[in-house]
Amino acid sequence: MKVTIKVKHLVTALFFISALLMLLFFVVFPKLQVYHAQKGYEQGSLHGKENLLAVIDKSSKAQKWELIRTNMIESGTDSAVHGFDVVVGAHGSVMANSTTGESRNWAWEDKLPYLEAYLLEGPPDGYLVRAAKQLAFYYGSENKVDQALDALEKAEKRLGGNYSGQKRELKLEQARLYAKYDEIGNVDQILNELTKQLSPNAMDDFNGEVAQLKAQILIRKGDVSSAVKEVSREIEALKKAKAEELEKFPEMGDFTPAKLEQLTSLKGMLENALEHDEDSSSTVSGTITRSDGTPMARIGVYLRGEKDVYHSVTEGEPYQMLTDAQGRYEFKGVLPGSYELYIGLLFDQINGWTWPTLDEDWIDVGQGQSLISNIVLHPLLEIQSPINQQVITGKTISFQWGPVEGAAYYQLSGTVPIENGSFGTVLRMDIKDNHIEMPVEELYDHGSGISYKTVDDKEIVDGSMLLGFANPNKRFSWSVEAFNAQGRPITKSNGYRLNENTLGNLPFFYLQERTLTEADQLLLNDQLDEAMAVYKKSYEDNNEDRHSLRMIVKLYEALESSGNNRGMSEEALPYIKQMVEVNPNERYIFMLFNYYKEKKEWSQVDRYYKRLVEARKGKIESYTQSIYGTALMKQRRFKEAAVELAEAMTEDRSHRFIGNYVAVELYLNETYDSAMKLADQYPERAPFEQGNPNWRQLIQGLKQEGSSIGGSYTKELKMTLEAYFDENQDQLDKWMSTTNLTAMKALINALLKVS
Amino acid sequence: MKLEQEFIKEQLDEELGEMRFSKGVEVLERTHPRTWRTRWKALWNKELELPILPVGIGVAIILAVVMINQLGDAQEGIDASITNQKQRQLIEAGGNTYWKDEFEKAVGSVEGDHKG
Repeated sequence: MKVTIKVKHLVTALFFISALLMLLFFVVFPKLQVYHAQKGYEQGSLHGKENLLAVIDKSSKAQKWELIRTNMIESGTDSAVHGFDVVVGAHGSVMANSTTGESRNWAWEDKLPYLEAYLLEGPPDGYLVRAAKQLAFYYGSENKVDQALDALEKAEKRLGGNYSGQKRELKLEQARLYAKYDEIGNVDQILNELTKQLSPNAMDDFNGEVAQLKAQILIRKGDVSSAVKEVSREIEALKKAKAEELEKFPEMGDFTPAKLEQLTSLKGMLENALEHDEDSSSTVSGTITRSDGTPMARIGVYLRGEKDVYHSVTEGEPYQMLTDAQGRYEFKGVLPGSYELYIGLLFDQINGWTWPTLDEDWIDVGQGQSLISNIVLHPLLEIQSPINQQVITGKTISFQWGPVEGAAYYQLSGTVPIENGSFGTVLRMDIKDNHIEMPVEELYDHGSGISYKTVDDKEIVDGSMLLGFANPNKRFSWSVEAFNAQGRPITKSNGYRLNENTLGNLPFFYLQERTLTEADQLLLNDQLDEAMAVYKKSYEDNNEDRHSLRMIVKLYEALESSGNNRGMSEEALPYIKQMVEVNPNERYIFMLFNYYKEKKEWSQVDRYYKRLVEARKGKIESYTQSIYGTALMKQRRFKEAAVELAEAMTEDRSHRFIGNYVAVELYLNETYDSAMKLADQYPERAPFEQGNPNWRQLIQGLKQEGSSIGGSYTKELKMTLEAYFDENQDQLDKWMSTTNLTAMKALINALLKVS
Repeated sequence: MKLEQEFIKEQLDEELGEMRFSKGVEVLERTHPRTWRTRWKALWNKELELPILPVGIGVAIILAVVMINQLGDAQEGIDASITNQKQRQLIEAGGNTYWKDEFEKAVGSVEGDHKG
């Protein structure tokens, strides 16, 4: 078959076809590519970032600036708070972003050339200023101060005449850089200039930022009271502006500008320092490295005050920075107080590594000190057995893991899955080797928490949970943590395992040494009373039936906790005693110790405390020891109480029982100074934002009140303390309603909350 | 016969006597092009007889090559992002944080080995 066509027609057709193809290749496809790359990045797809970078490289100039602007500058930051995937600290690790998708945060290595290009050739507008500030922040944290200043200068030169606001910001950034390098003269000069160019809109963050920097410099000069004045003045201005704004736009409703919050918090810290006559600040510095010595550059470091650790890191917290290329950080002008270190990392930086922290691991900063706190990240500990859902059918279970250099002991934990979560429990502490063989019975003894569910509008104990490790159908997991000789954690098996190389063995196993009994089935169906009856019958029929005895105790425990009873009932007691006889596990001994403590049967308390110490081979937990110390205090065995409490205090970082120790000390020695010394040594840590009692201040109050009243004061104090020791609530209530000794009243009120 | 032919010729001569063929040069130019212009024009209007099958195959091959070279390039990024637009999700299991897809794969590979 042939077709006849004139050359001119053929050529015209070919021309149009190629024009169409060109349009497709040079306009449509690139646009589609950009669109998909952008979408892939935003959604956190695998390789989303690489694709986007490839597209940016291929784009035309205008397109390139647009892409850099939306994907790097807008999400970029000139503060150390943002741009991290995970924030790790003493109170656990927090994911900074959502849990879906790959990280959208750029590593500086990736982003740097693009921001540099933007600074040189990008359109001269507000984005250029942001790019310059981000670059200056980066170079500043790398200690490349000249390059940082250069970036700011370049942006300033490239900006046209209409950008006075932006130019001001660049100046402020310059001042911050000088402040970092102690060039206080230069800072003062710029701050003076900026004070004349403050924004006419008081709500503008810029004014607050100038005030913050001014305050920082004043603190470093040791002039805290002027810093308070500076901050207060700005707070007033902001409050006034806010009121005006509200008047203009009443429909906005009440709001607190972030800057106002930040300044108020700073003012609080400053006033606190003034109150304690602490006007000379300190320096806190250190390095962040991996265990092989590799420095970790550009890690976010946050030194966080007591009131800040219970919320996520905000820009307003005064001590935050990035580590430099050598992994170093240094905070100058740190006000006296208690702080905890937190660090911000990218997934790539934490993947397969861990920085194990201790609860209540505070850095107590005094006056004019130079404190050093180094952070070392260790590779995650590798577990070896049982792994990958292994089924254990024998009488023992053998745990094994890779040895850790420098580990003095290991702590083994197990986890039982529960509805909507899991319940973790320490299986063994103080394991010397990197393996341990445990009887499965020991796992069965562990509690698995008590949870409740609603059935027919009634809250009932979730029976399925009470079996704990004795449920052959549940998949359990385990983890291990290594500690050095000083009791500080080195590494652990749990952490971020985000690729094939770090995924490691799965920490899951099944315990199928036993099968479910009839009573177990009843329990799983939430027929608690029926289950109890069958367990009791089984135990009566066969005194060797350890499982039934264990479940009877667990059921009593659960039923009593739901009935709001404190401690164990009389009914449960014989079962627990029998359990202790056949199985002197510390969990059951503690139940008896606690039972008799509530009943104030002191000889039994002593007896079971001794047994607990034996079961723990002399290494008693600080909490239990504090409770025993408190029990001794209630018996007025003050000297013994002081010994126990003192010992517990060195182990328990929260110092939650310091109130009782102080009370014993006040009663025994009748001097305020020794009690005050204790309060200083073991400050009670604020578990919540509202703060815990400041025992030093309370004793200071007593001292002042006592000196104004005279001899009878000590007598009254002792009498009131006796009522506290005896838990004589009536007498205390009566005294409270009649006394006008406010300081003493405050002390007793604080003591009543010790627990 | 001859008479008749002569008669027709006379008649024709008479009828066409007024007409003159003046385009002889043009015709000659077309049939025997001498200048570039005329040669180009001839080519431009030339009729080609193309066999559909071989030409079709040729075009298809060219298109395929172009597709692979050019379109493949453009498509790469699109494909990559489309196939990866299934969002990854982080999950916590056994105290660790994993990517859900990797974790499920790992669990899948050990499942059945032990659990009957």
